[in-house]
Amino acid sequence: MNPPDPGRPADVCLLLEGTYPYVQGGVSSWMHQIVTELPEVTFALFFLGSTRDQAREKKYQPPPNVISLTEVFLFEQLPLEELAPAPVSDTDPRRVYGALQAFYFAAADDARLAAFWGVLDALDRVEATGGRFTFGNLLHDEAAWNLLARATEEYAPDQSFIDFFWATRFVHLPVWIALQARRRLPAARLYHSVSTGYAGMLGAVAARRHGAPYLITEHGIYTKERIAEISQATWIYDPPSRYFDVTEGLGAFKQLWIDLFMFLGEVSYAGAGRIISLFEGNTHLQVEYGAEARRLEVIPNGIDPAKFDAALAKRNARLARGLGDEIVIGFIGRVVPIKDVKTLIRAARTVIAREPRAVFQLIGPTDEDPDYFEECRQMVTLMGLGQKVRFLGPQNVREIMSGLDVCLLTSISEGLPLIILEAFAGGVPCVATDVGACRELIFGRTAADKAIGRAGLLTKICSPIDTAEAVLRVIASAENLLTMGQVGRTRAERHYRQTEIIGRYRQFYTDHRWNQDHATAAGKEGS
Amino acid sequence: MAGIGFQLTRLMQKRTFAGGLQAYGYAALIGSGPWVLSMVTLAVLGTVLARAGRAGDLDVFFVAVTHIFAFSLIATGPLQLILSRYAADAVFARKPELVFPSLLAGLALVLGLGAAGGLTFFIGFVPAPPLFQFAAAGVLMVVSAIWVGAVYLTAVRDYSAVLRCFALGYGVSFLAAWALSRGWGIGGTMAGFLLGQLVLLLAIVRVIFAEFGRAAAPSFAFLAYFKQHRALAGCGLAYNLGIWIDKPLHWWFSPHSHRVAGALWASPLYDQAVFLSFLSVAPGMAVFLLTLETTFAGRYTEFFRLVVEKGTLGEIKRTKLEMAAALRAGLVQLLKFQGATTLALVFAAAPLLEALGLGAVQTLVFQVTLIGVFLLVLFLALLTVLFYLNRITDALICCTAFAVVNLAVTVAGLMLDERWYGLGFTAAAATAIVIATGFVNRAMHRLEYETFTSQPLYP
Repeated sequence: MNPPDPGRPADVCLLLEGTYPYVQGGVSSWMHQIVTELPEVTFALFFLGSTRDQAREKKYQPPPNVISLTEVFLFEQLPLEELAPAPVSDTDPRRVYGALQAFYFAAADDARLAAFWGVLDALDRVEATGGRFTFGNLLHDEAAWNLLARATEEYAPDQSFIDFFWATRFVHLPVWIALQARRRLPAARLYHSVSTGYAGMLGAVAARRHGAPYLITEHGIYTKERIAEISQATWIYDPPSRYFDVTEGLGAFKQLWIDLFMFLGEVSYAGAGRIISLFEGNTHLQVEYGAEARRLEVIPNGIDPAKFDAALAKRNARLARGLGDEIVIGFIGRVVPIKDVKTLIRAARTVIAREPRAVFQLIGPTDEDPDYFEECRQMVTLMGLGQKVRFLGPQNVREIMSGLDVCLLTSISEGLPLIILEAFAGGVPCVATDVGACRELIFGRTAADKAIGRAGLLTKICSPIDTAEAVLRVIASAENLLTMGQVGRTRAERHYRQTEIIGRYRQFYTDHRWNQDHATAAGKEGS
Repeated sequence: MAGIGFQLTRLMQKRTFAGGLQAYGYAALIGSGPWVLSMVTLAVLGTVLARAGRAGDLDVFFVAVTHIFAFSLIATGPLQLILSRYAADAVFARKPELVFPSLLAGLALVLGLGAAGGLTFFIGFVPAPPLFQFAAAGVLMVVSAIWVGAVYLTAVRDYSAVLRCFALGYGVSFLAAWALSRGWGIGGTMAGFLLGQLVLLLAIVRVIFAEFGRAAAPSFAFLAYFKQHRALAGCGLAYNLGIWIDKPLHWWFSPHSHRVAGALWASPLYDQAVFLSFLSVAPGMAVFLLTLETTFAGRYTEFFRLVVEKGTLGEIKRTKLEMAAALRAGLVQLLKFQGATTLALVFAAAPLLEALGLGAVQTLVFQVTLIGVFLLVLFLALLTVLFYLNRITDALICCTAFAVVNLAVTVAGLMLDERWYGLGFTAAAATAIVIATGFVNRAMHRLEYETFTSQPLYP
């Protein structure tokens, strides 16, 4: 793949943190689809990875309209010239430290954000005047130490200093590497990052440097995911609490990391003209993490319903003859704890006790968490459900869909589950826990969408009884199954059509009028 | 889900404090080092010999010993500090088995070089009976070896054993020198002295063997330290030069000096008064070493313990202030004791030196150098602190200034007249104090900053 050509700006620069084209996953396949289905748009990829190891081989082959690929690794060792402090005579670092001071001790979020740009401007100015300022300066300068000492007094006076010292070093290191990469940002007419975090911050930096609009799409909520990770991390020193104090919450060092990611989120959101999430529920989280409500927009994942036409026809023909000898309830997904398959099995027992025709098919890979799968299998055996609850392993979803009467999902946590859209396309009603986008999918999001009807039922998480009752209600009659299935199909056709969703991104990419509000607002801020 | 999450685990684990708290044996070595021993020996020897009245022959013996002490100390200065650093690192790295082989190698080195230098000098440039020439060369070898051994003695806990060694060694030296002088003249005196020094060396090696002893072959691994620790080696040289340089200058360039035998010169007007004034260091050294050991070193250890064992920045800073307070208290204590001793001796100088048979010029030199010794003790205290704080380059600058000022002002004094004698040494110590105070202040002020920021980002 080519390095970026400054003379030929791309239409869109994608900022990709730990995802396309090197890492497999939902976000990556979505990205690949957009890139592939918009051949008239040129893309420059800007990949942020942890270490070079992560980017040995591409999991997706980018199409020819991807004109460049830049890689940055945030956890690679710094080169020596970055570790050695540049001599003070080389530059005037006072401006940088003044800006840093304003940043660390800002009284309010707005002031901190302004100070962040102040720091970047100061660094750019050092460079513009022929000077140098390295990470080594931050490591060794007395001015940096004085800032650290003051920050310690202010934010962590009672903490183990050696841990605070190292924590501050390592909190800053990847941010520094990411910011240094700002010089390598390819020129583009628009910047689009698919997360907040380091990539989101760089997106905001890029948009500001190149005076281009900036768009964020979040599948999960990055800040929230990082906070969950940090809370459970064992590599961060958690000082033992001297008293039993439940109000204390997380240790100061975990808080430091959380503050970092919260801030990266704020910078990202503040710089973006539009912030897109997959479903309504996530927009609330984005607001909570600092996004301005009027810039939010929902663009769900899409599907091509036509691909399920055959399955739909076959199923409708079957149900037209009434309920069969078997009523098939399908679970499609990985057998892992987050899907809470155990609740599903417990619910199955109740359903089968009340409706002997019910049969459960568990479709999907079982090798990701073998222990959990084994526990599930034993549960089935112990409950004597071996005949009625079957693990089928991975299957072709389009083929199996016509055989299902209901699709069941008991996940503890979800984003926008593609499987529900696939079930809808195949005319299969869904019973799902009330997490992620499930409510919007099954009951509808907008008023017009809700008016279509209900394509299934919602249940409480970890509740076998609730789940069983919902399933029993849905499978009460063939008629019910057909009506709800039709609602799902209609919803998928009207609101989740792949082509329309790609079209919305085409619109974003080619017509930048959506950014006018933001551009004028930013202009006012600047003046 | 997009995002890299954390790959820091590997980086963060096992990240604590590298280095820092080391048993810097040479801190104590500088304070109580071989030079004190040599000065005391010379003062006692000089006085005893002067009283004995048989000046002529014995003069050669005394002057030869003076030369041997002066040159052996200057020559082994760098090696002393290098070996002490090597031994300290070995102990810190929990490899005490490396210590004894380095001693053996160090001894082999100085014995070899001492033999070459001693034989060349005494046979080539000092007309005297062959027994004297060979015995003197032997004394140069053995005394140099003793300075090397003394490095390791600072790490030996059993102080009384060390004292017994010296009592035994010098006892044998004096007795044998006296006994052998009857039949063999000054050759016998030197041979007797050599015998005692040899006993002392063996006793020292035995004590060190008891502490670190493993049967092991000599290892010259420490030689690499000369490359890695140039400033430290430089300190050893400059520091001993600073203490001694005024004496040879007086031997060679003073109008009052005379040739004793061949290349051996003496300047009795200067030498005896200077050696005598060095006797006054005892109270100051004792007091300072005591406060250093009990309060300063304690706070110093506590400082690094807090750094490593998760102290808060407030606690760390507080301990540093306590360290500074302990240092100030120690210096004040030193000023009091050493000041009182010096003052008393300055006032009692005239009758005291008259009783020893010394004249008015010598009294003046004695008074001036008494003040010089007082200042030297203060300088030593500050230098010790610089070593504790690992400010080796700063220490080198101080020591170099000490040596250079001594050289320059002594030469200037020799060009003027007797009233300026001894001022070189005193002015050098004063200059060194001023510089060292600045460095200590700075080092203390920046202690936590340097302690932390010197930690490398990647191990």
